[in-house]
Amino acid sequence: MKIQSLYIDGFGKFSELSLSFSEGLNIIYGPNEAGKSTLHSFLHAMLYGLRKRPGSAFSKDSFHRFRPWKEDRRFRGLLEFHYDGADYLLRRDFSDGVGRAELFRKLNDEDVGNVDDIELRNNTFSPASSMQGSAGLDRAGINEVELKDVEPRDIQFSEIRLSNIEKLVLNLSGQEGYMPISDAEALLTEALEHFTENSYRNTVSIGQLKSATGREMVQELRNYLRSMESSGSAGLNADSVLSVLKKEKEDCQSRLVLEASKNYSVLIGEIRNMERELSQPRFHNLLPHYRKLHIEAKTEIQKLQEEKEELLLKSTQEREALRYAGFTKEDELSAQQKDTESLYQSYLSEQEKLSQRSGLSFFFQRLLLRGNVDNSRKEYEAKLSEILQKQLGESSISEDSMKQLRQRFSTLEKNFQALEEKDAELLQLTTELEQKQSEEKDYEQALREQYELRTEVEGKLQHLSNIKNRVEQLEKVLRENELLLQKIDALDLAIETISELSDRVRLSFGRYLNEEAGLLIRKITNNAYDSVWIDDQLNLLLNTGDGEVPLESVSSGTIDQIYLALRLATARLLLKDSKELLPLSFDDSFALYDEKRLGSTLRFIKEEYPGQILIFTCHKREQQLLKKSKEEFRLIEL
Amino acid sequence: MRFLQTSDLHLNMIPDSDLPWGKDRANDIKNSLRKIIEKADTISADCLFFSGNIFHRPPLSRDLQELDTLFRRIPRTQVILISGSEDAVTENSALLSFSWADNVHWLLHSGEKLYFDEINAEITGISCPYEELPMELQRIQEMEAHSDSPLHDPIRVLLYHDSSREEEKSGYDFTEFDFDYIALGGRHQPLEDRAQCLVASGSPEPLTAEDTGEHGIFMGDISSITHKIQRLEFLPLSETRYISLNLTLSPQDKISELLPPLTENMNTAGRNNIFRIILDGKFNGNPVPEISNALRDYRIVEIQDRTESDYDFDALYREHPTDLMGYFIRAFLKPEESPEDLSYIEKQALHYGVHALLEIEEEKA
Repeated sequence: MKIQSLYIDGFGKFSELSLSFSEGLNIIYGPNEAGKSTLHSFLHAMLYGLRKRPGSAFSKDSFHRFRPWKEDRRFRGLLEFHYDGADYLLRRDFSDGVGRAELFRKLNDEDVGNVDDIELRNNTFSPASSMQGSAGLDRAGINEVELKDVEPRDIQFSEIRLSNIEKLVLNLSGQEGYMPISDAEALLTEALEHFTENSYRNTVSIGQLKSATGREMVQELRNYLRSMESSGSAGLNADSVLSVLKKEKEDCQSRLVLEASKNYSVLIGEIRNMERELSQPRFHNLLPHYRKLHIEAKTEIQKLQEEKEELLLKSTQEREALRYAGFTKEDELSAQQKDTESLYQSYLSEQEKLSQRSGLSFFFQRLLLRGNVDNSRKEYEAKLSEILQKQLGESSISEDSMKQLRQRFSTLEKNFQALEEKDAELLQLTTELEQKQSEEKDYEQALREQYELRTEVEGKLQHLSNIKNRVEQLEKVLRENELLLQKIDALDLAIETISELSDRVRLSFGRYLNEEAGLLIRKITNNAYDSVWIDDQLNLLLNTGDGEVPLESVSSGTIDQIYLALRLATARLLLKDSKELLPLSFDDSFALYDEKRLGSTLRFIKEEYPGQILIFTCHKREQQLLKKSKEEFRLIEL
Repeated sequence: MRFLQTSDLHLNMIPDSDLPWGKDRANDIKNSLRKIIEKADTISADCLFFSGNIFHRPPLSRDLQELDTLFRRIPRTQVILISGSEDAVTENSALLSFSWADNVHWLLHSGEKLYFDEINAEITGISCPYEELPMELQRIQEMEAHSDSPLHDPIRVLLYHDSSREEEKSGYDFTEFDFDYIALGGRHQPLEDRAQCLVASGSPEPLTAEDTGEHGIFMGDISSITHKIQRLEFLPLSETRYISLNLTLSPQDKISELLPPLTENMNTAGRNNIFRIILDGKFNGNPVPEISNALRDYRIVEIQDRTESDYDFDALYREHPTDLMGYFIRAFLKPEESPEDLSYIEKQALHYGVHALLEIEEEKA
């Protein structure tokens, strides 16, 4: 890109100022306070706009610094430049704080048709003419600028009668010689070889070194190099970027709940164990089962008891009856039965005997035996009668009564047997009852155990429920952890990528920088130094023929030159693949130089940079030196 | 027959348990049961149906005791409950041995039937996954063939709990089955299919952020003569709703300016409601912390950040072809490639890196 001319309608202290430049070396001379820095800034503002980025100190400063203080003063300008074989007109109005770029392509003479509304006069300027402003300014609505006529030279500067901007837009159509460019920003960026504002300011736009002392300069150089080396642009410092990313990663890590995962698996394990435990048969709810059995047992016991009572009653009654009959045991009865039979037999035989002895013999026998025979018979009779009386209620001894007696005895015998059976039954019932009662006790015990078990089961179920609640909460935490871990992964990837790139850039860029810079340093210092070496600590060392010298130890003038060489090297490096070189501008950069150094530097710059060069200075030395050496240059005096 | 129908109360559940209102919601669920019983009393309901998942976890005997005490207040109403997926009857369940009041019937076995003479209604209870339902019904039919069926013609009601745990299932087809009314359980959201006489009441209180809309119970009248539904009404019960709100962001938005209309919206809807905020659109950076902080006095269950960054990576690359920014972008995107082609992690990494690079550039400027 080559800047052909500029017109300041209003910016800082300037209004209605036009300047034109040559393709090669330009010296813009003006004493202090003439506004060189303002010009420099204007150039910058035209190329990059007054970017109104919130919180950006620069734009705030620039806007207010350069805005004309009078209300009705315009705040805008024009810049003409040549790029890629075409001429362009760039226009910006800064009054809105942004200064959107409007770009027009100047058409060739053949394309220019009739011009009615606008007078286009081709004028050029010689270095001798000074731009003092304009005569014939009409303040009432339409501003006109008329520039002095001068001899035509290489660069053409078109005069434009300025109405207000809108009219200009309407008027600058194809027929009138200017074709608006629809995507102004894109073309401008291209013309600027994609240099960002940062790159521009740190390479081709060279101001005074802000610091005066050697140490500060070196520090600045180091800073400059650090960011250049690591990122290819002075603006982006990989370390700062990495620290932003790392801080964000730390923030994420601090929000991770690390124990959540572990607690979760522990709890899940516990749930599984508890559920397995609770499904064991011993925890089955057998209450209904045992309740049923218990009731059944009770009912059965009731029944058995009633049976037993009944039987007992009957048995007691019968026993009583037998006792009343005179017998408590069966063998008593048997004995009496036997007795009775033998008694009867004896009685009968005595009776027999008696009847046999009739007449004298009986008379004599009776006299002889007297009582004995009769006594025994009487005994028998008495006993028998007793028994008969007891059992039958009458005492007469006869075959009939004996028959009855025998029957009675038989009945009694049967009763005894029945009683025996009852006793046996009673025994059985008692056994059964005992069994059932023990069963009942067992069921009662089982029920007690079941109730205890129920309490245990419910306790466990409650505990299980609590654990499951905690697990639900943990699941949410785990999901959040997952998201955080994903974010951390992404941050890690970004960090890795930036670190790797930064190294690569540093390596490749640094190497080339060292090479390029070396050449330039040798030249600019007249071979005093071979190159500058930037080690991995970003310490700067100058290579002399004999060894390395830390940069701090050389004069500030030398450091300045090194700085210049490095910037030039960087600029050249960045412009290596570009179509054209950007204009190099120096804002009062050589104030501290002595003549000799100044001369060699100027020569150096001209040789090493075949592009357009703009040197803003408040000294006459530059022009004097150049005139003396018959170098071609254009002088512009403010 | 006049009835009230509900299901899926999930008593003892603490919705949103990690958030401050969890306990309040658990109480709301308890209170909803009280409201249902009061309603049954007020309208003199013949029946109160619970189609499963009355409890959130297998109930303990004291849980059943509390239920029983409540149900004793409406002795004229027959309360019929069936188990669901969460409160199923297991071998160790307290349900096996609990003795209820006379008007309360918890059917312990799938397929069990009850008959009520006063209203001539036969209630069948089934709890199984929907795929198994035909088999289950067939099994019941076979059993029935052996027992003596009543000669009269009762109103036939089915309480069915779909235990397949699939929320929002559609496509229930009960046309083959011979029931006059089907009270469906196993869902949080209500469902009404008059053509099939199929009604799911849903949970009377919403339980998760997906349960948007109104929640309550159903009330109905079925004619004892025609067996047709004479009246069916949804009675909203819950005073709290889950509401999803969308907020679309654009890169230049100031979050503090977007909040007042949002909070006004929320205030109008009612602050006792529980909100889910879904952020979409384009935004660079993380909008969530600021929004979350500003809304801390509201019930916010979730803030979903679905915003995407607004970076025009092509433009950025063109501005920074030879520096770290450019290299970084190129490391992820080939020329003409879109961020959509990247994996999720790569896309995020690209975003974070560019964001940090721009932040530093901003600082230096």
